[in-house]
Amino acid sequence: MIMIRSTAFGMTLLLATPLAAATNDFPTRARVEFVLGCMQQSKEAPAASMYKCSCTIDAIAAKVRYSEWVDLSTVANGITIAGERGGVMRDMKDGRKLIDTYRKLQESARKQCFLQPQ
Amino acid sequence: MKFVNAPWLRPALAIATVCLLAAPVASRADADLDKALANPNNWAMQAGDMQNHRYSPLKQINKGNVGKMQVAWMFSTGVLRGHEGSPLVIGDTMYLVSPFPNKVFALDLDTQKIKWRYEPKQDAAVIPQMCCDTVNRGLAYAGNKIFLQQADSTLVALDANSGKVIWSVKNGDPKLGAVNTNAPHVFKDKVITGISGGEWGVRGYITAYDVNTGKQVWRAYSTGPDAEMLFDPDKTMTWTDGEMKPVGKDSSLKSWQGDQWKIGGGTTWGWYSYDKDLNLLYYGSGNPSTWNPIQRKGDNKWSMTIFARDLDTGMAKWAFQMTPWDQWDYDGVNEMILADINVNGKPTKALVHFDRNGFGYTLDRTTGALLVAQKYDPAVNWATKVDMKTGRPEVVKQYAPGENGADVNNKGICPAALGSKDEQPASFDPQTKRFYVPTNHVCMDYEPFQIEYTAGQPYVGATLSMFPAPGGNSMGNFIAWDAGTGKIVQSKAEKFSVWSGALTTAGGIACYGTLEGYLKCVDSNDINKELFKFKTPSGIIGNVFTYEHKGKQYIGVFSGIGGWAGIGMAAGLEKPEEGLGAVGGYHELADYTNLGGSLTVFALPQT
Repeated sequence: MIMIRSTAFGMTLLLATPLAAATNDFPTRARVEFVLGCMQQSKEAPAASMYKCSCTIDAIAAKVRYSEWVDLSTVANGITIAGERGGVMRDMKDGRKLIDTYRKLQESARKQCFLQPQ
Repeated sequence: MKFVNAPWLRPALAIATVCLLAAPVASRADADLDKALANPNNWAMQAGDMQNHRYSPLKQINKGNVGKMQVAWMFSTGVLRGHEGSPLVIGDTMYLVSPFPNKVFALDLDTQKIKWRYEPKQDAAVIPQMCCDTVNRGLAYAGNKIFLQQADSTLVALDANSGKVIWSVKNGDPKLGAVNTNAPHVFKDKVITGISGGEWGVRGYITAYDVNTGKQVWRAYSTGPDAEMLFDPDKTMTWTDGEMKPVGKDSSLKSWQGDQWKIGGGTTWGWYSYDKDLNLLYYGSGNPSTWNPIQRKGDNKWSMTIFARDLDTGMAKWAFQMTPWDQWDYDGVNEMILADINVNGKPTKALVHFDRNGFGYTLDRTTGALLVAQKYDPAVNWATKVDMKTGRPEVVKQYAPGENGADVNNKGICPAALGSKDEQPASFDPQTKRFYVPTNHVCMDYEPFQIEYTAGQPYVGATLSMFPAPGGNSMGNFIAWDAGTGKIVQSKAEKFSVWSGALTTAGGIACYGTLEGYLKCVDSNDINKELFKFKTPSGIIGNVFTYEHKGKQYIGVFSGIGGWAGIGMAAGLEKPEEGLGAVGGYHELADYTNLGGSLTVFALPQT
């Protein structure tokens, strides 16, 4: 697999251009993990939320490469670390923009799949 | 069995030790821990041994098959926040501790179910007194006891069979910011523990408690009068003009302005090690307080120092200060690795230390003589080199906030405050004789400002902003290091800083975690050969460990960094206590997928 060059701080690329052509390369376990977490947060009946959450992660996977998704989620999670280490993440240039990208990506996929906004 | 630990036995044993080289020293706890350590199926100390090697002789999982590893089982602590350190494994039981509120679990390895749990009652007021997350770097074991170092500084001994409290002792005053994040370490018949709070002006110390009673045996401060530092002005040695010389009288007091040493930091929150033959304990002290260097001109001894102390008395045999008059927050607490290696071609009992200041130090651990000091990240720019005669770094004025005055923003200093490496421990592989080091590749702008000390309040006095080192695409590296020559053998770039501790094994692999949540294992002979990569539920800042149970080898690591794993949104953060237990306990599905930190344990597939 080709590692994309969108490193954390090079990820501004990701913002400047539409998201890189997706290769639908999310591993099964990443999709399942998302679905489980998404279902846990959903207030709908399990079957409904399972379909909607699966739809959502498939919609995300159609838009972004898995490695980019991992980078975005790492930044989004990284800023929650307390202390100096989190400081590195919070200080990251364009970090907030990346988190915004991450949120928007999820929001539009959720909308598409009839999931309530978070 | 009752093992005798009678005082009258001591002289006889002392003589026996001289005659028989390394006779086991009398203490039941001591013998018990030695026995546990001798069996490679266990992971009986945080580093797997007393030398901080983080190396396992197990080799069922090796470079040929590690790529096939699968998740064997998982356990969720039910606590959000950063999960550092690792569990311990003694026989059929695994012991682990969560971040605050420091829940302790004993798990039956046959069923992975909880044997017992212990949750201390701690005042939540301690949380805002912790500078850098409510982490806990793990438990210690000896004499059928589990030692827990709580955040509120209470050190507790639990019965390893039942989790019942045997003794407990207060190690500091959390109201003044004296809290704990470090793992306690048992060496011989003593529990050694440090203190945190350099950002609160805590005057650092290290303390030895009796393993059986919890009685304080000795305490040694990092700063202040000789008697309180357990320094002998004539016998405690330090590297001076190319040789070891006595430190002399009032070596600390002379290096501070007025009474600043009383709130001068030098805390001790790292990983400690012990050389049985020399009976010496090794550890480092942290930054001097405040972060504004203009308020504390002088060498600020003995902050930023490697100490070698007699384990029984605490007396300092030698001390080596790495960063006199710190102007960057380059704590010297990182692990001291005791390795017998060739240094500049000569077989040496070495101490190897990757300091936050970006230099990898190799010292003669018997005498304290400086042998090697070289940059282990080429980005390091605050000093050109370490003068081998004086042992002092040659500081570049442009990057020295203390030189340039308060309220001046000093730009582009490398490394950033958290160093080229933070506490995340490196591993020494005795097969390759190399050190495997998880590093940061981050720089900073640093602006000191005047600050008044208020007891129990943060005492920082500098504004920082941090950013990736210029000219690269990575914020971290995993490196292989030759401590005999002070050279990077290989460097493997990581997008994010590597804040997970490394493991090496006789199977020829080196493993570490990443902030993305990947557990990676690489070939120890060629670290750019990635043999295994698996995404765990959250970012990894814990240390990789291994054990064998019923003929099967396992490799495990904590993940959990702060907020939510998986889908990243902030929901649920308000309920950090939502708790769960073992997967084997069959709680709700959700409990072990996303909530809290997880332990993920890998093994080769069943055949």
